[in-house]
Amino acid sequence: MAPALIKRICYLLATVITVAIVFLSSYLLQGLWLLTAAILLVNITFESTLLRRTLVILLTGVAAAFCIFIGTLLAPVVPAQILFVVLVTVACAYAGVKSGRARYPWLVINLLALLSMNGQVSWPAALDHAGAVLVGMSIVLVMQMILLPFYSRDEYRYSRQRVLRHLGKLLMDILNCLDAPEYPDNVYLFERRVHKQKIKCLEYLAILTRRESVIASSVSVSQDLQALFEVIIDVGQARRRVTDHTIFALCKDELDTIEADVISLFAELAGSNKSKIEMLLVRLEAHITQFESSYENILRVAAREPLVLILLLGSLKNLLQQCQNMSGITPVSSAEALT
Amino acid sequence: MTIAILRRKYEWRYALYSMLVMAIVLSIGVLVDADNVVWGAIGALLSLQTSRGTPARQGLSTLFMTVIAVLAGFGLSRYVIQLELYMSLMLGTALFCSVVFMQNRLTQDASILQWLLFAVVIMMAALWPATNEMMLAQRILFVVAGGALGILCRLLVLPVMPYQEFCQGLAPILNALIRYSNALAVYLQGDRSADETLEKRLMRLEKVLQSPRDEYPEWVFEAGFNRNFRSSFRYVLVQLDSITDAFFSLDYHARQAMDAELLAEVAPHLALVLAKNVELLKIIRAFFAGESIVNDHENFTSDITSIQNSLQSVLPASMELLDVSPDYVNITALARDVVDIRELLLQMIAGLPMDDSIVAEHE
Repeated sequence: MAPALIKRICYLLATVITVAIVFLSSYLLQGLWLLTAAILLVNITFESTLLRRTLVILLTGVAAAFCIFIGTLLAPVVPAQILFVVLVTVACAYAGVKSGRARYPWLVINLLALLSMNGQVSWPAALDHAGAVLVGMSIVLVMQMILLPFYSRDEYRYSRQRVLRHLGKLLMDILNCLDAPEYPDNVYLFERRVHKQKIKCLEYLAILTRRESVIASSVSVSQDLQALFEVIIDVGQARRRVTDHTIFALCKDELDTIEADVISLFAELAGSNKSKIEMLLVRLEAHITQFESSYENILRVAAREPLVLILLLGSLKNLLQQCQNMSGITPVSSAEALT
Repeated sequence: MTIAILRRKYEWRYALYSMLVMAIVLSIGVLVDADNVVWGAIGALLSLQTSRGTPARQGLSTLFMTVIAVLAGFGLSRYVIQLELYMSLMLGTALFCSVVFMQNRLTQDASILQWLLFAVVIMMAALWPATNEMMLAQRILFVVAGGALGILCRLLVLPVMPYQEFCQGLAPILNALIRYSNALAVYLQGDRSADETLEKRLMRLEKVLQSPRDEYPEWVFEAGFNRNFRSSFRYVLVQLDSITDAFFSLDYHARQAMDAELLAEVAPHLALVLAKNVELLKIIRAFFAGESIVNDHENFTSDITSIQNSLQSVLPASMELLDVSPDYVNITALARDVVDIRELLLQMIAGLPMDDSIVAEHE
């Protein structure tokens, strides 16, 4: 399990335990507001910096507490209370759809504002409920400051791992389109799989780029990964260019070994084991050479469109080159590896 | 005019649904049973948390989950007497659902939010316990009534018009492709200062695909989407996906260091093909925007022939010699990508139900 993931779980666990202790010790009567607010706010962790995340949690918590306070105070005048809750709902619905990714905080405000329709009518009740929400928010804020102070740095590494893992999966799905005999009859199914994986890669790449800009890294890993993504997409171009997919049955073994090598290599690229990376690079180069010789001896003659296979081979070589650039290692030679 | 704006702007329409549903649920709920009105409001709010593709299906599934959560909350408050165990079960569920939500929130799938809301509703139902079965039944009734009203409102009041929404949803991606294509044409012709513009436009293309504001109509892939539109919409998206793939591949090859003379020979032809591809993209955009399509009798084959001729003049005659230099493979791949884009665009136009004379002209 990645350290960043462990930290995330620790953060959730610590917040939940703290909220539970506060609830049991002094907030038994306001538990609904305290616990609901804390659980909803603890899940706001998408912002890239501590400051921005803190601000979002703070603003969401304060807005929710304000809505609960006003909503409860308006309870004696039912039409006014209904009007207020409806207006809050409209504002949150509009802002949520408009802001796209930031939809969640608006939903939190809306959901907590609805709780003011609880039937209790008094000034102290309004204060207690709003206070409980603010206590829940404070616990979340303190916990994320203590446990996630280096969120961007940790998440940067974690994002890099995730991008590489999903790039591996993308390559797997793409190569599956090439060598699966069912592909021509189920194009939609396979393409959908590739599309989903592609979007995941792009999303994690976007996060990585954001995190990279926050930690002001001098090494542009996100650009390298972007190029890697494009090379993988380029490898997949062959699936649309060939008219006879059975040609890939002739090189299925080679493609499978390349796929396995790349996935192992991506897993290692996320770490720092140079010798393992070098060994995997050598192995990948050897298998690409094997694919090339298979092309020279069999595919060139058997294929209807040999040019497509030359381009595929070129893409695989680019993939190797990109991996070498990223690792900063150039293996000695594939001939040595083969021996 | 107001209705026209509401039809065009999803965010306004969504706000309208929310206002109507909440106003009805709260007004009637307060008159019927003021103590349980909040459950009706929760049911309504949660059933509205759906995408525009399959609101009824998603709304029903959310409603079902909400009812289960209310029952689970009641079970916790009623049958787990020990406070520590009660707290542990409730918070354990919340913790588990939070982990699932946190790990998968990027998938843009509305069902991920259901996990978290499920835990929150359990918590609400447990901490605000129903004292007897009658009260529980009333709560469930309110949740179901609120949720059903939410779903009905989305289906009946200015319902989502799949064709219109889909056409609107394609505009951002088509615009992004056109802008990127224009920038690439400049970049390929040797203006390396266009690198930054190219980068920005690629980022924009990627951003549209990630659909942060539902810009890309991913919802047509949802299970249960309107059968009448499903296959045609999906065909268009799969074609567009192939086109964007070709653009990504093109971007990689265009950025590779290449022999300047080689590139100078082929670049003008590539730029010409790209410009005509932009024309085709504009035709597709005009079709989906419902605008009139200008049939300017463009020839969409001569530029392909010219690019092939220029490649023949700079590349070795024998294909086996292509891998003598990586530059040869790269320039061939570059040309192949733009030609692929042309084919895909023509295929797409041929599949659109537009005036036959225009299609014939393009073919």
